[in-house]
Amino acid sequence: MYQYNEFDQRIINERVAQYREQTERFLAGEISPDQFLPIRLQNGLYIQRHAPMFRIAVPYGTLNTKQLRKLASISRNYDKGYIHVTTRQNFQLNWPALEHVPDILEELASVQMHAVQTSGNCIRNTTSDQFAGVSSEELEDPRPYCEIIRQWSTFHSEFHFLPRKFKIAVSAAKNNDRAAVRVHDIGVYLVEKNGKRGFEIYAGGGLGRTPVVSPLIHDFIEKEDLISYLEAIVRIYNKLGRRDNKFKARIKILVRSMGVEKFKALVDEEWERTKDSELKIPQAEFDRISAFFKDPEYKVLSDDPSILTDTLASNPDFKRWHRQNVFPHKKPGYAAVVISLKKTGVAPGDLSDFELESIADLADEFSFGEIRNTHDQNMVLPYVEQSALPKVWEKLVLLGFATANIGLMSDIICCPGGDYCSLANAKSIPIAEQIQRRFDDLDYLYDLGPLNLNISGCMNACGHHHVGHIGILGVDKKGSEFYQVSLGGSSKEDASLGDIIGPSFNADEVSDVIEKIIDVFLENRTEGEPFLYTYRRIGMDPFKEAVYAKAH
Amino acid sequence: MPKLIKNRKLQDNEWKLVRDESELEQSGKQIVTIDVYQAHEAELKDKLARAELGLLLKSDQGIDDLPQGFESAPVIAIDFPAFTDGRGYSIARDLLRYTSFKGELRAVGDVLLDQLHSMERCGFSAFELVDAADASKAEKCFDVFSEKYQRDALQEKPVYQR
Repeated sequence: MYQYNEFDQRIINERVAQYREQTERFLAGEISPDQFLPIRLQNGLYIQRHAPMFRIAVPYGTLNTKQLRKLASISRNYDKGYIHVTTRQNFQLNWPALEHVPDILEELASVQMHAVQTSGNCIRNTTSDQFAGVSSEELEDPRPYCEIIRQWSTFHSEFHFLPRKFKIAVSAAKNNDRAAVRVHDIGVYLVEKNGKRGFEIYAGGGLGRTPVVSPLIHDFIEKEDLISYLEAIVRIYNKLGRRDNKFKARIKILVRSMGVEKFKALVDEEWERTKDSELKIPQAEFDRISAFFKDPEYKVLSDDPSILTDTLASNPDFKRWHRQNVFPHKKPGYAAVVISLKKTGVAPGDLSDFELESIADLADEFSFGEIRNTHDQNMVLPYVEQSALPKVWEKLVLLGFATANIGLMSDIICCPGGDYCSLANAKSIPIAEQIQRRFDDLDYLYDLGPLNLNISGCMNACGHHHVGHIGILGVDKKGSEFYQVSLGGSSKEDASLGDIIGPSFNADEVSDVIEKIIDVFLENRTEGEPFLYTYRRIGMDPFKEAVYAKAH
Repeated sequence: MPKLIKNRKLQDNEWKLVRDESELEQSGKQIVTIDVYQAHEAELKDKLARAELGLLLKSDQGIDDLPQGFESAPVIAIDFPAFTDGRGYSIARDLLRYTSFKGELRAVGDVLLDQLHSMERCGFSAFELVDAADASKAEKCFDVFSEKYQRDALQEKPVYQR
C-alpha cells in the first residue's frame, strides 16, 4: 500500500499544527462557531446528537495493522472503546471531545492517517473496490489511480468551498462494480478500448434527497489526462453549481438542470485549455505510485489444498461460511476473506478496540498485515492462503465475525440513525436488528440468494436505501418514527433507484412487511433468480398487493 | 477603509471600493464593479488605460465579463459575499492562468484569516480583512504548509514534476 514520503508526512503534520492552533482560537472565542464550522468539518469533526462525531479517512479503504492498532488505542483512550465502519470505507468515532481532536489527529499522523476532507463542501475520500489488487475481475489494480486522485484533491486550493460535498469512486471491474460508481458525484471505470486502457467518466450521480444515477460524460479519457479531466469537471461545478439552496447544490442538480450535453461541452471547453498543462500525469509518476501497490510476496501455491477440501467436506458450518464470506483471488491458492461486521445484535459496522486488535493479529498472521474496509460496512483480509482458511474461520468464529451472510439479506447497510445522528428522522439500528432477528436462518437466507437490504434514518441516505434491492427509509410523521420501503434499487454497474412501495409503516411492522415481500418473491421467482431480477421482471404490483392486503 | 494585507504585510489601503454608481467620485483611486464601469465607460475608459482605475468582479462573474483593456488595471478585486462562497478561488485562478493580467489581485468581502493561505495559492496578493483586529495576525497565516501537491500561484510545478 502507499507509504508516505517525507513530503506527505510534513503536509499532514503541518495540518495537525494548523488545526490545533485553530481549535485554540475557537476555544478562546477568536473564531465564531460559523467560521469554525467548515474548518472542523474539513478535519472530520461534526457536532452530533450526544457528542461530536469524528470521521477518519481510510483512502480507498486500504489500511495496515499498525494503523488498526492505533485506531484501537485511540478509540480506547479518547472514545468509548469502539469504532464504526462507514459506507465510504472510512471510520467514525462517536464520542470524542472537541478539545481532544488535535491530539487524536497527531496520533493518527504518526501512522500516516488523517481526517483531511472527510466532511465539508470539498472533495472527499476517494473510494474503490475492496478487492482491488486481488480480484481476477479487474483489468488492473485501481488503487494507484485512487492515490493520484487523493494527492491531487488534498488541499487543492481552489476547491475548499465547493457548493456542496463531492465524492469520487473508482472501479477497475466494470462487470462487477463493488464501489457504487454510478451514484457518486464523479464515477470512474477503468476500461480497455481498442487495446488501450483509459477511463470512462460518469458525473452527476448521488443519493441524498434527490437520488440520481449518473450519466456518462466521457467514454474514454487517456490515463495521462485523468487529473486534467476531473479538475475541469470540478471547476465547472465550483463556478456554476447552485449556492442559494443547500438541497440543490450537488453536481447532480447542475448536470440535470443544464442537460448532459451542455455540461459536457463546458467541461470539454475547459479541458481543452488544461489537458496539455502541468496536469498531464507523466509515466514516471504512474510508475512511482504503482510501485507501492506491487503484489506481496505470494508463495507458489495451488487452488483447493486438501486441508481446505477436507474441512469443506466434514464441516457444514465452515462450508456455509466459505460459500458466502470467502471470495476468489487472482493468485492460485489464495482467497480474500470478508470479516462480517453484521452479527445480529451489534450495530452494523461497529467494532470494539479489542476486536480491532484481534483483526490486526489475524491480518499480521494470515494476510501480509493488510486490511480493507468495504462500502457495505465489513472488513476484508485480502491475502489469505486457502490452506489457512479453516484456522482463520475458527478465529473469526471466536470473535463473532464469521456470520456467513455476506451479500445476503442480513448483511444490512445501515447508517447510525436516530441513536446517534442529529439529522436522522428515525432510528435505523434497531430496525436492522429486528430484521436480522426475523431472518436468522442462514440456509434460508442463502436460498434467497443475493439480496441487499439498506436502511437510512433520514433522506440524506447515508445508509444508501435508494440502491438497496430492498430499501428502508426512516421518516418522521407528526413526531413519530415511520419507515418507507422501496424495492428494486442497485448500486452495481446496472445501477437503479428503488421504487417506493406505498405508505410508510410503523417500526414494529417492518419485519412483517419484509416477510411479505420475500413471500411474493419466492412465489414468483424462477429457479435461482436473484430478488432484483424477479422485481425487475414482475414489477411492483404483486408486492404492493401483498403488503397492503390487510387494508382492503 | 478595511485593513489591507498586501504581499503578506499590513499596508495602507489606498483604493476605495465602488459597488454602486452613487458612490463614484470624480477623482481618487477607485475599484469599480463591472456594472458601474459599463454605465460610465466614456469617462472611466481613459482612467483604466492610464492605470488609474481598478475593477471588481462579483462571485457570479468571470474573466469573460471583464471589459476590453482590463489588463491595464493596477488592481482587480474579487468579491467574497460569504467566506463559504468558493467561486472567487476559481475566478482568481482563471485570471492568473488565462489572461495576461499582472497587477494586484485583491480579495474583498468576507475575507478571514483562515482562508488567506488558499487565496494566495490561487493568485491573490492583497486582502481586505473583514475584521480589522485580525490584521496583526495575518502574516503568520500564509506559511501554513511548506509543501503542496498541486501547481499554484507560488509554485510552478506539481509534486510529480519536482
